[in-house]
Amino acid sequence: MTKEEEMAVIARVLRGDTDAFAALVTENQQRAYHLAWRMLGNEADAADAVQDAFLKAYTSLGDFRGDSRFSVWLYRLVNNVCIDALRRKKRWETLPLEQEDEEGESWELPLADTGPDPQELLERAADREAVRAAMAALPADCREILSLREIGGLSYDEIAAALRLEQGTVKSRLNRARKKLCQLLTKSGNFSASGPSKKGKEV
Amino acid sequence: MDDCRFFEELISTSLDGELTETEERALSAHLQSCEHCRAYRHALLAITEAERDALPPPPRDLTENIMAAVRKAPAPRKKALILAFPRRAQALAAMAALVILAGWAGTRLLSPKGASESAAAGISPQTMRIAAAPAAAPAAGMEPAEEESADNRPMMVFDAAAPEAAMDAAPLPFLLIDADGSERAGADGSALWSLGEPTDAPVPERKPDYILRDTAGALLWQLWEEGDSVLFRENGDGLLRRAEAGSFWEALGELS
Repeated sequence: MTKEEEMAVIARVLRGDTDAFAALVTENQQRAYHLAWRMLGNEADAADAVQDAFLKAYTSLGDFRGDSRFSVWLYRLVNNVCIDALRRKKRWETLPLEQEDEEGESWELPLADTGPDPQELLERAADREAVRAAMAALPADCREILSLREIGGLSYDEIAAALRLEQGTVKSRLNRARKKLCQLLTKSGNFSASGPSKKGKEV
Repeated sequence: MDDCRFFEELISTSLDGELTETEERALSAHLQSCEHCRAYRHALLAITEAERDALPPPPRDLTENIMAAVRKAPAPRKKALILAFPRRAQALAAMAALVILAGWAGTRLLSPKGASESAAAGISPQTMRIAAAPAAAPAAGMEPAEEESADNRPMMVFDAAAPEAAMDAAPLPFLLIDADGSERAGADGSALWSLGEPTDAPVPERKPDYILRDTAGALLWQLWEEGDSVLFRENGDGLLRRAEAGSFWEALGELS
């Protein structure tokens, strides 16, 4: 959706066409959900948070002035809702390392007759699980900024505006977050770190 | 190692595509000679990939649930609509609203009934204070004055002698709201200032069929459909006017 299309949809919603809002939902819900999931660590809370954030976006759509992309504005709302939720749960500083281990969802191997060999799939599933656990163990400010960047796809400018930080702080905090993540994974020993080179992605 | 700490940040920044050219050159030169940083970069790439891999798909009914909640929510406030217009149009629209208010206050405040009405509406005479410019201010140069203090704010500077002339210069975006509360928007309602003829017919006792507000929410007109004509009452001077229905709706332009 281009910026103009976005503004046109918003104008329609403001004129009372509530259903037009669905276009903004379908366009942005996946990333918003991933952001929330990353912040909150479980799927039910993430779905609730995304719903809350979209509701807030809808009722205060009149405040959206189009200075930024709608998505950036929305992610900020998602972020705030998540922080509130975390505060309520009083687990703002750290989340438990072992999350949803019981579900074991990400351990399930896809039924693939073609594609990568089972050993690699297993490794990748283990990596996913390890990253998931390490992410959850990150301090919230690190998780927040990494999510805005990597899931939300926000530029440094946009992150700086969303979190009210200096550009230099954005840079250094992202670096700190990644370094910490790397350390957590190395310490856990569960991450193959064989990396994307196997798949020829190394530049 | 101090050196590497510097380059670690560059590696992180490079993943985000936010390096300057100079930084990029410096980093690639460093990577060629530093095993540690190459391994670090490699690990970060692997982590980023695994992170993306680990994201669960959103629940299938997410859109549905969100929209169900949205439909139950109160309608958004419309503050931004007026902000979306150019500054000059904003100034003029705000001024138009103010002129109406001033006119309305001028006539109403003379009677005790009017005074109590304005008090009930939460409008004090102070908030309607207007600083008139000594000479005719050109419309294009008019800007709303900055708020100075809470109880002494010259809200707008304009030529009090010829407000209509100034108002003709800008479109007046509006919302037309019917008795059921559903709204349609129009680009310019300023034609209504000069439409139809004043009538001494009594103001209909029934609720208006439509009301017309400006985009800031100020009530401008009340409308009643009567046969082939439309009675409309300007909120400013309270005078009732009558216009032929066809030309009335034509004057309002396209509604969306």
